[in-house]
Amino acid sequence: MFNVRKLAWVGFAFMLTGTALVAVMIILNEASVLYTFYPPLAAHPFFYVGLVLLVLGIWACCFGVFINYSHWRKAHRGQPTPLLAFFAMGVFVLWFFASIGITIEVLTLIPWSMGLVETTNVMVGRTLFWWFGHSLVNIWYLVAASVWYVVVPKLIGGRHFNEKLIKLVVILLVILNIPGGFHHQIVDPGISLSIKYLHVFMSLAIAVPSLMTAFAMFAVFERAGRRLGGKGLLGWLKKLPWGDVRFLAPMIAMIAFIPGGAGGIVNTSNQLNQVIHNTLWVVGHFHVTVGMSVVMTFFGICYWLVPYLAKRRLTAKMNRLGVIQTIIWTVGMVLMAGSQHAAGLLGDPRRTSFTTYGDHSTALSWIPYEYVMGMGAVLLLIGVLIQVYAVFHMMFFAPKGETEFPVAEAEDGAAPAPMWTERWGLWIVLLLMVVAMAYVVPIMDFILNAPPGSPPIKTW
Amino acid sequence: MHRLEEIWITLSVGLLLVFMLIIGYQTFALGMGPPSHKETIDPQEVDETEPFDDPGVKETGDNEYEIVMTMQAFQFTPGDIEIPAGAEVTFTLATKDVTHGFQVAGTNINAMVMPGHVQKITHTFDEPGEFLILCNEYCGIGHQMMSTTITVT
Amino acid sequence: MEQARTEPIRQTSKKALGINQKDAKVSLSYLTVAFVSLLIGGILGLLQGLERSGLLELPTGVNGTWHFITRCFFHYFYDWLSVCCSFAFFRGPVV
Repeated sequence: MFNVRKLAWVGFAFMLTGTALVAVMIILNEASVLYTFYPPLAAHPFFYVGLVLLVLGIWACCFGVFINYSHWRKAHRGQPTPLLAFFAMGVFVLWFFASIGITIEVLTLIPWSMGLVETTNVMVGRTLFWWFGHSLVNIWYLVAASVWYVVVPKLIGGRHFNEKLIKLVVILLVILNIPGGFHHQIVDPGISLSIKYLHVFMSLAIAVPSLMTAFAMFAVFERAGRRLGGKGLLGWLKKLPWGDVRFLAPMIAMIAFIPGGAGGIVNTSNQLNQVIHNTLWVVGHFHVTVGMSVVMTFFGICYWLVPYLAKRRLTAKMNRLGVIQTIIWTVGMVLMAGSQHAAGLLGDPRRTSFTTYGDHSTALSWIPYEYVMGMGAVLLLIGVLIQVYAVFHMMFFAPKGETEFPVAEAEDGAAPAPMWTERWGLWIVLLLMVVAMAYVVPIMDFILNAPPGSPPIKTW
Repeated sequence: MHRLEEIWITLSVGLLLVFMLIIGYQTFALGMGPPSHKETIDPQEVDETEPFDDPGVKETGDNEYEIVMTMQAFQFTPGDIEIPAGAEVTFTLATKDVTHGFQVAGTNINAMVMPGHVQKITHTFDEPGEFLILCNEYCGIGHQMMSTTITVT
Repeated sequence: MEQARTEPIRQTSKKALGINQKDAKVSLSYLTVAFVSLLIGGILGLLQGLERSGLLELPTGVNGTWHFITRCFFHYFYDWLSVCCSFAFFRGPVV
C-alpha cells in the first residue's frame, strides 16, 4: 500500500533528478531555449527528459495527497476538511491538471529533438505550454493565500474569515485557473479575435476570487485591530503586530498584490496587452506578484515553519534580522519592479541581454531605468543571503524548543462550511469543462488547419 | 457583514462586466483588436512563397503601404525602411526559422511571428522620426542585436 | 454537527498539529532544496541583473543560458517550497 510519505519521497527523488538533469543541460549550453522552450528552438533530448522527471515527481506528491485525503474523509465522515488541508488539496489538484498540457507538449518534443520525428506543430506546443505556464504561478499564489487566510489571522490575534467563503475562493481559483494562461497569446497569429475575447473574459474571471480575498483579509485585519482597541477609521492599523516578521512579511506581500493584481488586469486585456507584451513591464509585473506577494509570504512562513519542523525556537534576534531582511527585500523589489514597469512602457524588451541596438536614441533612453534595476538586484542578493542564512540557522542552530504552528480559529458561533464544498469530483469535472471550453476550439483549429511543421533549430 | 460581502461581490462582477463591454467595443466596433491574422505558410519555403518571395515596401493606395517582411535569426528583411508621414502601414510578416517578436518601440506595434503562420499588423505613422524595430522574443545568440529602423519623413 | 466542526479546529489550536518527525523530515528536505536553489538563483540573478543594466559583461555566447539558468533556479525555489508547505499544511491537520 502506498502511503503519502513514501510517495513524497519518491517525488523528491524524481524532482531532484529532473532538476539536476535540466540544470546540467542548460549549463552545458545544450538547452538555451529559455523557460518557455518554444519550439522550434530545440534543446538536447535530456533537457525534456529532465522536465518529464520533474513533472512525475510532482505527480507522485499529488497522488500521495489525493490518497491521504480520501482516507481522511472515510475516517471522518460528515466533517469538513480543515482549512489548510483544503488549500493544500486545491494546490495539488490544480498542479496535476495544469501539468497535463505541458506533459503532452514535452512528450511530443522528445522524439522530435532526437530526430525521430521530422517536424512539430509550434502553435500547439505554445498553447499547451501556456495551459500550464500561468497556472504554475497561481499554484504558488494559492500556497501564499492559504497562509494569508489561515495563518496571518492567528498571528494578529484574530479569527479567520467565514469558512464557506474561503473554501469557495479556493474552489473558484482551482476551477477557473487554467485558461488564464491564454493571455500570453493575445498577440499571436492564427487565433480569431472572438476566441481571444472569450479568453480575456476567462482570465479576468480569476480576478473575482482575488477581489474576494482582498475583502476578506482587510475585514479580518480590521476586526482584529478593533478588538485590540484600535479606534477611528484607520486606528486599527496601528494595533497590528508590525514588528513580528511572521506578520510583516506576508502583510507587505498582500499589499503588493494590489498593484500586482491591477497590473495583471492590464496584461490580460486585449489592447493594453499589445502595449506591454514581451517588454520589461511584464518582468516588473512578476517581480511584484511573485517576487513580493508569493516570495515574501514564503519568507514569512519560514520564521515559524522551519523552527516548528526542526523543533527549535524563533529568537527575538532572529525576528529582528527577519524584519531587516523584509525591509531590504521590499526596497529592492520596489526599485526593481518600479523601474521595469517604467522601462517596459517605453518599449524596453524582456528576455534579452544588455543592448543599445547600435546606440539608437530610443534604446539609450532606457538605460537610466536599467541602472535602477541593477541597484534593486544588488539589494535583493543581500536579501537572499540574509534569508538563506536565517533559514539554515533556524534549521540547525537556533535554541531547541517547541514552536507554535499558528492556525486561526473560526469566529465564535460561525457556521461550518457546508459539506458540498468537499465534492472534489464535481470541481474536477467543472475544471475540465472550463479547460475544454477554452482549449478545444483553438487546439483543434491548429491541428486541423496546420501548416507544414517546423524542424528542430539551434540558434545559439 | 453579510451585506457588505454581497455589495463587494456584486461590485467586483459588475466591474468585470463593464470592463468586458469596453474591451469588446474597442475590439469589435473600433477595430482595435490585437494582431490575429489567420493564414498559414510552409515555414521552410518562405522565400519561395508569395508575397515573401519579394519582400519590400509596396504602395497599395493613397498614402497606404504594405511592408512585406521576413524575419530570421537575427535580421529583418528589408531593413532601414522609409515611409512618408501620415502613412497607414500594414506589416505582413513571416519567419523563416524560429519564433520572433515584432515590436516598434514607441508605438503599439507588437506581434508574435510564429513559424508556419503569417502575421499582419497595421499602424498609422503620424509623427516623423526614426523608429526602432526590434525582435522581442528570444531567438538565439544574436537576439539582442536583431533590430532595424523605420524612418518617417 | 457542532462536534464535527470544532474537533479538528480544537486540535489545531492546542499545538497538536499532527506533523510527526518523519513528515517533518520530508518537508525540511524539500525546503533545503528550495533554499539552495534560491541561493544559486540569487547569485546568478545579480549577475544577470547587472549584465542587463550594462554594468557588467558576461562571457558572450551564453546569452540565453544566463537568462534561463537564473529563471530556472528561481522556479525551483518556488516549486520546491510550494511542495514543502503544501505537504506540511496537508499533513498537519489531516493525519
